[in-house]
Amino acid sequence: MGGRGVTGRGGTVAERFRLGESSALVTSLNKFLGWFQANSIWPLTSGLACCAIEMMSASASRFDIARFGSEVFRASPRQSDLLIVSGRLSWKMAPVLRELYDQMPFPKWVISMGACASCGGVFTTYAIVHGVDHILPVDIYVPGCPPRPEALLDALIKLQRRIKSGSYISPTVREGRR
Amino acid sequence: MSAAVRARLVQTLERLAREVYLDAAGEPVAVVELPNLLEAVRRLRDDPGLACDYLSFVSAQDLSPRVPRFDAIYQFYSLSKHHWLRLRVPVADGEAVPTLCGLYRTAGWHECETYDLFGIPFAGHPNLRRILLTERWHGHPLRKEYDARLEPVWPLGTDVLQNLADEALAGRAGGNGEDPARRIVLNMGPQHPATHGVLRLALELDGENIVDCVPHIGYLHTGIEKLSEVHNWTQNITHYPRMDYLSPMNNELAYCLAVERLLGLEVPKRAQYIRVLMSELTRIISHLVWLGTHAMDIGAMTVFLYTFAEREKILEMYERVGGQRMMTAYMRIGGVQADLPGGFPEVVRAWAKEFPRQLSIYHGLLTKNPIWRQRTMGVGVLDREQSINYGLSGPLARAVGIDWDLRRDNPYSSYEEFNFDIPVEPHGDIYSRYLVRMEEMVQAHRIVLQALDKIAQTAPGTYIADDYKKAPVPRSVVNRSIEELIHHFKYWTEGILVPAGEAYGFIEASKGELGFFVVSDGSAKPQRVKVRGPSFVNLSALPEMVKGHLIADVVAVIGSIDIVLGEVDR
Repeated sequence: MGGRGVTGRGGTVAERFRLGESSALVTSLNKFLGWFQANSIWPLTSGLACCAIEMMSASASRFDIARFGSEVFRASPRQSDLLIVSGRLSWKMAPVLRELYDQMPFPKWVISMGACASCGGVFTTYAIVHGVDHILPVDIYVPGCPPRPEALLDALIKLQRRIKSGSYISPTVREGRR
Repeated sequence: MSAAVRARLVQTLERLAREVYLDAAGEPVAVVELPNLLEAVRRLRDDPGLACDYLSFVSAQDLSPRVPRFDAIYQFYSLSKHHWLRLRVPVADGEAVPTLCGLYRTAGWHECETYDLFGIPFAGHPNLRRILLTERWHGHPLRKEYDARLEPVWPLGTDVLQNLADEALAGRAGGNGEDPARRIVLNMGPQHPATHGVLRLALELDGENIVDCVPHIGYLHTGIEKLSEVHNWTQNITHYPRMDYLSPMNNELAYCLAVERLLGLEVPKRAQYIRVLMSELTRIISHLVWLGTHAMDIGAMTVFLYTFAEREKILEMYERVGGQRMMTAYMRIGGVQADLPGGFPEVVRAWAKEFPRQLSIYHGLLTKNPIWRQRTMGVGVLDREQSINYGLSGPLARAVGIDWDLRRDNPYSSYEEFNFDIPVEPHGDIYSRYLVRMEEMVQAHRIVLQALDKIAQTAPGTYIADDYKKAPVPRSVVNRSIEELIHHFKYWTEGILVPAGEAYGFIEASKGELGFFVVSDGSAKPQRVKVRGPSFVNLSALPEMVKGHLIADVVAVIGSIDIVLGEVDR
């Protein structure tokens, strides 16, 4: 376990539990939970378009997202904490995606993967939502069309770093729970 | 051949045709008045000299301000004679066109799409619905006055889930007289790991047996055809790899072939061989994704890891030639974007040496695997007549004994110079489709090696046509003279002016007949681009394949059709 981020000012968490430093425990617990959460982010299996194929590549042998604890793609939103919006989102699909997001339990995060998800990309048409942030709060935007699997992994690592800090407030919480 | 087809067409249609002409590619087109449509189509189908048993697509074109405003377009093919043929039917705004569903089942979805995007109603259609957009969508996007960049008003209303439920079985044909209380309706998708994207199925069940199935598509509708009318001919290449994103270069190739036919542009041999090389590599990566995901759907996870590892090697080749893993836009009108980089043939050869061993691993994992055989043999069968009637193409058609491959029967891009076999299986079930695709990878591997040999015999640097009014000027030539600099400037600012006309460019893509029907009015932008995606047509036969099976079989059947929703919905 160990690590400075978890233990804080001095001693291990276990030691501080024994010492009964309850005032310090609150922040430590946040970090402690963050450490758990960050290393077991379970993404939702929701591929939209081209980026979904790169998302699959990221989970396959060469890029191996399992190194970062996120290989458990769940088909049910009830069991996942990360929504990777991988590809262009049409207006027809938008309410469905929002429904999926609403069904995910807290805490939850969103990665907007690729140009189409982030801003509509090349598809500035009537059918496409020009940026998923119209309907969802987004934590991390990944550029690229499609982004390489490394870029997705980088986004994941950045998200992990934020979660591990223990003080990261997702935009979801900021905008108020619906 | 086309002149003979034209003569036969004139003779068969007699007075039904107002006009018969040859398009830019030399394929005959007949203009038929609306009341004569059904009779004309019947004659095309039944005449032994034309034998148009295969309806490729139905679409339309908005010709406003002309009166009547639209042309309904029907593209036919003869599986025995191997010729193309097109009908144009002038239709006024609001006028109903008689449906072809009675003659060709495949017309069903095509007519829905035409209705959705143009607002042309089809009389007698069993289930005319807005297939790509939603029922409450305002306007019809492919009409000329519709703004491609329009921000839509919220199209589904507020109570989304209720709407979904209402829509679910809206497309169901009439019941078969059994007690409806026994039935339940199960919604599958659009977020479901086995639907390969955002396909949604409404399944009507009796116990676990499927009584009826209504696919709902359009959850990835992007408006690519509309967008094609906004951008110029060259810019459009960018959109198409994002349609069938499992075989990007196939899409680019089909479009470029169509435009080259309009332009009458001759592509250098080296470029043609490079195109063959890349499109066969593309076929392999597409089939690898199909194999991996199909097996994973049925429960064999390992195959996915093997095939994706192999796919990475070809994506690396993509990167070498096009600079990107997937969306390369490598094919250009008149050739390809750049010559093959140094050392590329060696890379391909090194991969090709290893590939047969990989294939034998996949065979070892699946071909004799009893679970795999039980899940796939005798499931999802569609017989030969039905398959033709539904317009199935590619591996699906070849798995039911239809010996048809455009690479051999209507060769493009110098395919006639290559030696390859076309695998055909008789049974039409999932296992046959599996065997056909596995063998296609072997054949693609053969073609790749031949293409490398042929490329080596051509002069380096001849990768694009040297008609600089129609093709981009290579960087090495730009600064040579003022004319070339002007051509370069004109090409990248104004684009190419394509002579007025129409042409159909087709290829045997990894999933079947992929066609681009392009119409030019002489300007730098297309008047109409119609994409005939094989996934769209193949998927329309899904209800027929799954009826009477179990839900678990639906997953297997979807995998065997090998759909890509980007291409289904466009």
